Amino acid sequence: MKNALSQTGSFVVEVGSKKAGWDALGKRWARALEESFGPSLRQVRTFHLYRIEGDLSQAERLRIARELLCDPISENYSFGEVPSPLRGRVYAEVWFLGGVTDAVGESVQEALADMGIFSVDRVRTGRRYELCFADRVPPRRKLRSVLSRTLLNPLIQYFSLK
Amino acid sequence: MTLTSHGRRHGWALNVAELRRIDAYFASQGREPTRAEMETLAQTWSEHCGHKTMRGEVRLENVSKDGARTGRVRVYRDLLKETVFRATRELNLPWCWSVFKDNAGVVALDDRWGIAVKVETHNHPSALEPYGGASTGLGGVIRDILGCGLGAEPIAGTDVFCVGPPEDFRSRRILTGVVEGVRDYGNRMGIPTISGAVCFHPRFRRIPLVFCGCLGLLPRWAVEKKVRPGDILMVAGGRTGLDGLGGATFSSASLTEGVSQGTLNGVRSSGVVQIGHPVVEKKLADVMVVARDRRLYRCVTDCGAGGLSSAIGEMAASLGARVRLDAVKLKYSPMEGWQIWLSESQERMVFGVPPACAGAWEDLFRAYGVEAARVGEVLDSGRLQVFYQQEKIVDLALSFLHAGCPKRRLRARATAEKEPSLELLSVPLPKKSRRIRRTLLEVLSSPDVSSKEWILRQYDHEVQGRTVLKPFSGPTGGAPQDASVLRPLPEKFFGVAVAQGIRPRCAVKDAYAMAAGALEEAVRNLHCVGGRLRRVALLDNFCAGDPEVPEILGELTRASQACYDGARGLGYPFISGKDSLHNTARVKGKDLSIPTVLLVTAVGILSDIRKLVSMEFKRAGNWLYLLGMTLQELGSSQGEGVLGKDCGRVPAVRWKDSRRILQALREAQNHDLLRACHDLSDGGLGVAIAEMVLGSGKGAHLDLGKVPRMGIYREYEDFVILFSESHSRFLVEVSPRDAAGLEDLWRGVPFRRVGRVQEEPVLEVKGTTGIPLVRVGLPELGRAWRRSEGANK
Repeated sequence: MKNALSQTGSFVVEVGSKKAGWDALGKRWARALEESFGPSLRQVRTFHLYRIEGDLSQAERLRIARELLCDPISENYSFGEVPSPLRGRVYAEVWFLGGVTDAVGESVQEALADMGIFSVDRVRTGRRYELCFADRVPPRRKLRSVLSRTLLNPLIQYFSLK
Repeated sequence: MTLTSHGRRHGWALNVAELRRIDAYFASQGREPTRAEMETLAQTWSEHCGHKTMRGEVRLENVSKDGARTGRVRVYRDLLKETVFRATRELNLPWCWSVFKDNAGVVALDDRWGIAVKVETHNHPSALEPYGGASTGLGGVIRDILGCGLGAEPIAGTDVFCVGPPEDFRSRRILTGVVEGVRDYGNRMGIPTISGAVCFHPRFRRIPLVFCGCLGLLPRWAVEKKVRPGDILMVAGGRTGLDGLGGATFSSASLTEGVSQGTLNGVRSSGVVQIGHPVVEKKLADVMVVARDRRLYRCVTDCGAGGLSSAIGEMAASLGARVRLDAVKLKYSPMEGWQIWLSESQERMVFGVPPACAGAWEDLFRAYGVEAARVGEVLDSGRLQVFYQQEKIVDLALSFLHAGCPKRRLRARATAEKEPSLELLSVPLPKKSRRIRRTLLEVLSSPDVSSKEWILRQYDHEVQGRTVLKPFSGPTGGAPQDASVLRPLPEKFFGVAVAQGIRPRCAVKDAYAMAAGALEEAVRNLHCVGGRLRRVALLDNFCAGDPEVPEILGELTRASQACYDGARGLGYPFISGKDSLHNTARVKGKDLSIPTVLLVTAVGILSDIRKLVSMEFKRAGNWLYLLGMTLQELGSSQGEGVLGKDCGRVPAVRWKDSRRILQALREAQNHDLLRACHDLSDGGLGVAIAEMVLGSGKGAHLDLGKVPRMGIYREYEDFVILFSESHSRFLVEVSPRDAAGLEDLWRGVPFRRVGRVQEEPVLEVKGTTGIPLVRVGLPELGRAWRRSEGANK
């Protein structure tokens, strides 16, 4: 866990498999993206993102991540922003547009109320993709073109690349 | 600005005559229409809600291939009424409790309980956003069941997809998206998805077809519903937002490039795309059954296409209503009045609640955590009046809203099919044993035929504990059953079987044969499972391109006629249906259209599920019989697809023969003479016997020389017998001690003993000349059958 707890009204919890081998979705995306990037794409890992808006203490934030969002047997959680990209790695984040129903986000908000946490205004969910390339990362234009066609539907989602 | 340019600008799928009628109405009222009124009319009169083409007057000309008129012109005053509805009306069966008038059709299970069934299409939304489109397609049809009568309890779901070839990345993405959409919605609602199909064709690449169905259980007293003046209108379930705005008009027009999200009131929205929330709908479904049994409301309907405008407009159609939109619970604000009125946000139902029950109704919904709001009341005014922020935004006569749309008069043209010449019948086909063996394996691994287990295993088809014959069963767990069977009432042995028929490949050659084949295939599948089949009801789902094109309307008309002929010929009524037209797209200046397709869903009521018969072989040493006649009908077959050349005539259904053969099969089932039964459809006899081998782990020996056949070009008999897709045929396993009884029972219908089940897991086929033709082991068959799974995943 990083010590990057934001004191503002909004924070992001990232949840992912403890081991890359357990990330079935990542493996599926690796197969799908191999057609575009070839064998230089070594691995894709996926992480659930939860952006929680509301006034919450640090203890409450920890409780939400530990007790609600993360399965401690198979998953890790962390707080904060997109990590600084390492060599050969690219991070893409996909979120729903503001007006689009986010069923999982709404369910998380209801679950928070069940936990006795009522000071949450809104929860939005997204997904982070970590693409690991064997050597150099493909040109940004190609990355943007391929990922915007495959990882999201621009009618309901937007994405950012780092 | 002219009315038509207004219409284009706002996306109203109204033609000039309809816009003129609206203009004249408001001229008679002495005022201009409001935006909300125009949107209400556009939604109610849309093809999606009003079925203007299928309810229109159609003038059908038969022409030859060179365009000359060949026969008399036939005029249908109302295409649906004179074909599909007519068959049901003429059959007039007392166990059809509700047909073509409610959100779903209802048939009697016994004296006290009925089964509600509905199948919907969700093609346009799924083309734009496969996951959201398919999940809300299933969510919508579940609400149709909840809104049928006073509410049926959903007990099963079905899905059928038509997509582009799996080697195409876009089509693969659409398929995985729609499968995940159905999986997540059905599984999260705790409704088993028990039956379905997937078809592949290049013309579905841009416009996939997504059919979602649902079955529900309701008591007989809850079949009828009616609001009364003074009843309070309540909206319950999900909140209202901008999602799905204009869905009905959108799905009544062609898809164009550049459909995109917009920013409405500062909120970036998906526009016409809806996203579902199954947990909200699950709570709604749970509370509804309790409220129904406590008789806390008099009427209910779902908010589907057109949102509140359509739901309240329909509920109060014969009376009147006053609505205050300020009370509607919103996802975010501000929203304009017309947006709240027209929004197609999911998981919402409208109730007509007697004033005396309103308090108890609200308490109950609160206790279940379902949000609800009083939004108006039913009046005896004959008008629909809607208010928002103290302003009247809609004031329409309901008679104009529901009966004011001018009837469409359309021209249809059908090309008469000629009997194929002898030359076409003798098109060179494989003769050598090695080539036929290879063709069998290629057909087995073709996308349409190959295993769909990777899809079905994602669905929970056992939740609720009612599924007694599952989509895949048998000792290997991989026997694809012809129909799935539910046991709706745990204390009784009644069953409900569900099966589908769809033949899009055939549509390109002959729309009548396509529809007839789909209908018979669905019915055949039901007959395979035995269980003392007592009643059969059918549902139709037409999908086509632009019906303004006479040839496309000609195909629709011929397909509708096939429905009438089939329903009358077999004696099985249609009870519900839905059409989806304008399945066209304009891409890079080219107009693309789907082939005309009919999905027929057949629902059978079984008297005794203890007498079910599955399709996999049961015991080595048992005999195999083929019931039905094989003809040279390879046109549009899977064999034709593998060969890549025109193989001539498409399979035709001969309704009298079909009825006799179905009757013969039913009698054999009723006498418990069959150990296994499988119908012959995609891939013909070769695929049917291979699937029975795959499902059982046992082998089989088949002698093609004994197969009942006629009109087959002798030189290519082996290939034709193995791959012809002639209808009305079944391959059955019979114990030798029952053979005499069966042969006695089937006197008068075409059948022969054609082989036997063997312990060695090998499929052996002997040719018509007596020489061994094919010998394939179970592992090789399995590899071929599952080959395309990896590509589709």
